This record gives sequence, structure tokens and C-alpha cells, in this order.
Amino acid sequence: MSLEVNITKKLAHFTLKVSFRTENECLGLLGASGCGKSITLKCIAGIVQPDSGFIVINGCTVFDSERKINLPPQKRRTGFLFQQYALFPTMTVRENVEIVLRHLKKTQRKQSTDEILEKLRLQEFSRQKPSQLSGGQQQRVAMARMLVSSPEIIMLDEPFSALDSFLRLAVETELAEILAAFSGTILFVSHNRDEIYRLCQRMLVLQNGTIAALGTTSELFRNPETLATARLIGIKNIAPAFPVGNRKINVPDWGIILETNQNIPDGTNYVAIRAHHIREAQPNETVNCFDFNVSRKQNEPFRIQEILTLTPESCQNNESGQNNGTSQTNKTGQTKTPLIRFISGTQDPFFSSQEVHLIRRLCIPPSHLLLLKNEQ
Amino acid sequence: MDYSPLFISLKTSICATIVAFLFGIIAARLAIGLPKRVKAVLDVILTLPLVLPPTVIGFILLLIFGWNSPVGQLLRKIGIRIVFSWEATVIAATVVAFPLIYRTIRASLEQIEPSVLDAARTLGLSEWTIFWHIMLPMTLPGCIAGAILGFARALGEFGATLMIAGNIPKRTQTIPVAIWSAAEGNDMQTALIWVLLIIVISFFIILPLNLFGEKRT
Repeated sequence: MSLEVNITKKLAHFTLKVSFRTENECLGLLGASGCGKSITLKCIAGIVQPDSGFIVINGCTVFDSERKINLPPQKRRTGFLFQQYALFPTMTVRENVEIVLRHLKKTQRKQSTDEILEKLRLQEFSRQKPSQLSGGQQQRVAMARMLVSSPEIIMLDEPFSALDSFLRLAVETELAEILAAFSGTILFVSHNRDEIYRLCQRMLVLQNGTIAALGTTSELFRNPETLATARLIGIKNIAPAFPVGNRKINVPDWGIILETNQNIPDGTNYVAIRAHHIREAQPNETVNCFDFNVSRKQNEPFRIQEILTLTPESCQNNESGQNNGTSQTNKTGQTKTPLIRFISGTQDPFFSSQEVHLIRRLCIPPSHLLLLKNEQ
Repeated sequence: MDYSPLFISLKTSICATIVAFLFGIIAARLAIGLPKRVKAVLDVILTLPLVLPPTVIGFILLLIFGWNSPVGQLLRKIGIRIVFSWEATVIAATVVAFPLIYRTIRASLEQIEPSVLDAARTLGLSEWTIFWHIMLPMTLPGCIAGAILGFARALGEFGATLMIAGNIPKRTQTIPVAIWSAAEGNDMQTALIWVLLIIVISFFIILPLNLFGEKRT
């Protein structure tokens, strides 16, 4: 059960250009809204026609611009779960499933429908209309309808975005079980990094229609490598940077020069540090330790968020000559991009303190410093 | 008093509504699949009978079905005469009722969430099944509204009917024609009866439309 996609399509603001191969796995498509994720799925399903390229599902070419192949959606056998589920509103739950099995004999149709309704715990709603169901139940109907069509691949387009937040985790757990029972390829589109992280072994990051990264989910979360990936997986502190040595990198926006624990790869032009990786400096520690003003402190339910700006005295790179044009404004340190730090609730001695404008010596550990490329 | 105009009117309007409804639903289904510009032009053409003077419709129908036209001569060869026949009242009423029916059905077809139809396609349902089992039931309120509006318009048709079907009592004399005919002959009492009757009929035709419409929102 494989899927091979290599397509281009000109869209209003950019050109969609994706090429990937996947087999018997749940592949996550992560991207900001309007980056081409949904269009990619629609191209595979045959709802939208790409300008050029090819799509092969389990060895069957369903689209090939050169060989003039373009199978209608009906013949592609792709399961597509829409954001708003797209149930047939005039039919009952049972009818929504049965219409997919129109080609079967009546007894067989009834049996298959009963089976899937029972499997997805929908029998008690079988006579109700979709509008009478909750979001999670509607999603199960859409899944039931999709599964009886025996698709070769399954595509899920932001399946949780229409649900209330308190329902999401429960529905996600249910969906994960159904998906685990499906042996073929699954494409999962989302702009939510947590969902992708939990459900997908591998992920693909889309930015303005092109693939910014493709790899193992856990690996990409550990080391995002590109600016687009770092942003989408939710890293709070990202700034342009340029190497000033094998293991030294200048970050003008933060006003500091940082040491790395590895040789800086060619093409590195951004650095990033996760908000919870910035920590208090140990006594006598010097590597990547700086004095910061805590300019704002916000209590969140289970953690504290601190907005940090470098103290003018700590500023290292005003006179570096690399940014002559702006060095005047940078002298005060006020125009530096602030850093964000998260502190998990109870372990911090300042948790209950409402005091601001205190100076802290903090460390940006070289082991957690991420070196990024931005090719665009 | 001769009640034949009432029955002629009802018979004509029912037939015209059925014919216009069939054409309207086909035209609406075809129109929604067309590219935007083509659809816009087609829409104008199909809507023209609604805004043109009835005499223009009547004149064009005479051109098409008249004795000297190719269509008229062809029909005459197989023994059918359209002009000044009851069928002519149906043709005139159909032409004016069609735009209302077509526009109402098309509007409600366009209301259907595209993803519902896309989902149906990915599930393997044929376009025919989608149209009959998904699109039509979803547009049922629109279809009913279109049919009611079309029927009411057909019932009120006068100008084109007079030009192509004439004013032949017991054959082509519909209520609107009967009113004009009676008033012309100074028989104000008969005219008034027909006027009141058609107001009452129209009222009870349109009433369910509003009751129905309120239920939907």
C-alpha cells in the first residue's frame, strides 16, 4: 500500500510543488493555514486537478499529465475525511453509510452497515440525522462511511478543528484506534504540531507550497533544521544569525554571540532555543551565560512565562561592525528582540513573586541551541 | 356564468409548471458545472423572459411557431397547429415561468457545501446517484419554492398568451384574458368576479411558500 506524489499546481499566491513517497504509515502534513496542505490532499483524491506531475496509488497511476491520465475521484479509492465531515444532511446515519454500498445486494448491504455501525459504536444513532449528533459522533459517521468504501489510502483534513477543545483529546484517542486498525497509508493534515507528534511516525512540513522538511517526527522535533519547521513545531525563540567561527555564532537580534557544541554546518543563518530550555546559570558558569532584564512576567496555569531582554552591559556585538547601520539604536539594548522563557510552576523560587525588572543571569545551553537554515 | 377560464387557467398553469420545472432543473444542474463567465451569460439569456415585456415574448413565439416559420410549417406537416390553440397557452406560460423556477433551483443547488459532493465522489458514488440521492433532496425546499413561484407566474400570464393563443372562449381564454375581455366589453361585474378569484387563488398559492420559508430559517 504505497502512495507516490509528484505534482505542481499554480495557486493564487504561490506554486504548489510537492513530491514525496509514503508506504503503510501515518504521514503528517504540517503547515500554516493556506500553505497548500488541503490542496495536496484534494489533488490526490481527484477533486482538484494539478497542472503537471503524477500521482500513483498502490502502483495504479491515477494522474499523469504527460500520459494524459486523470481518473475521476470515484475511481481512485481514496478515503477523504473532510474538516466539517461533509455528511449527507438529508439522510440518517444508516443511510449515510448504506448509500456507499449501493452496488451490493440488500442483505449484504445491511450486514456490512450493521458491522461498521457496531464497530464505531453508532447503532443507537442509526436513525438520527447528522444535525442531531455531536461533533465527535459526526466524525465517527464520516469514518464509518469512509471505511465501508474500502479505501486504499486514508486522508484526514484537519479532523479535529471543528471540535470543541475539551472533546478533542477523547476524539483523537478514538480516531487513533481506528487508524491503527487500518493497514494502508494514512495522510494526516494539521496545523497543530501536538496532533502530528502524537499520531504520525513521519511528517512533512509544507511552507508556501514547497516541502520544507520531510523526516521522522521525533527527529524533526528534536532537530528541526529549517526555519519553517522550527516555527511550525512551536519554537518560541528564533533569530537570524551568522557564524563567526567554527563553534561561535553571532545573533544580532539578541545582542549576543553564542557558542555551539558542534561545528556549525554550512548555510546556517538562524538559531533557535526552546523557551523551556533557557535556564538559570550555575555559579561560576560562563559559557552562553548572560544577564537579562525580566521585562514582563506572566503566570500561566501551570508555568510562568518570562519576557527577557539583554542588559545593555551584556551586549556583545554592537561594535562587531556587522551591522553598522543599526548599531546606533542597538547601543541601548532596548531594540533587541526579547527572548521568552518558560518555567514549570513549582520548581522556581520566584513563582509567587510578582516582582518584575529584576536582573537574572541565565544560560542558553549549547546542547539545546538549534542551528537552522532558511533557504527561501 | 361560464367557469371555463378557471379550468383552462388551472390546467394551463399545472402543465406549464411541470414542463418549466423539468427544463429548469436540467438547466440549473448544467449551469452550476459551467465556468463562471459562461454561466453569467447563460444566466442572462435564461432570465430574459422574466424582464422582457410579455408582448416581446409573444412576438418571438409567433416568429417561432407562426404559420410561415420553419417550425410552424414543419408542425403543420404533421398536423399540429400551435397558434390559437390551447397548447399555445401552455407554451406562453412555460416561457415566463421558467426563469423563476430555474433561478430558484439554481440558487439552492449553489447553497450545497461543495465538500459534501466531493465526499460523495471520493466514496465512489456516480454523478447520477449524487444528483438524485444527495443534491435533489438537499434542494427540495428550493424546488418547491421554485415550483410555487413558477405556478403563480404561469397563472398570471396574459400578454404573450393573448398574442399567441388569442382569446377564444372555452379554448384559450384563461382568467387574465377573461378579465381583459370582460372589462373591454364593459361587463365589469364578471371582470370583478375573476379579479377577486385570481387574488384569492394567488394568495393561497403563495402563502405556503412563506410558511415553508419561515420553517427553514
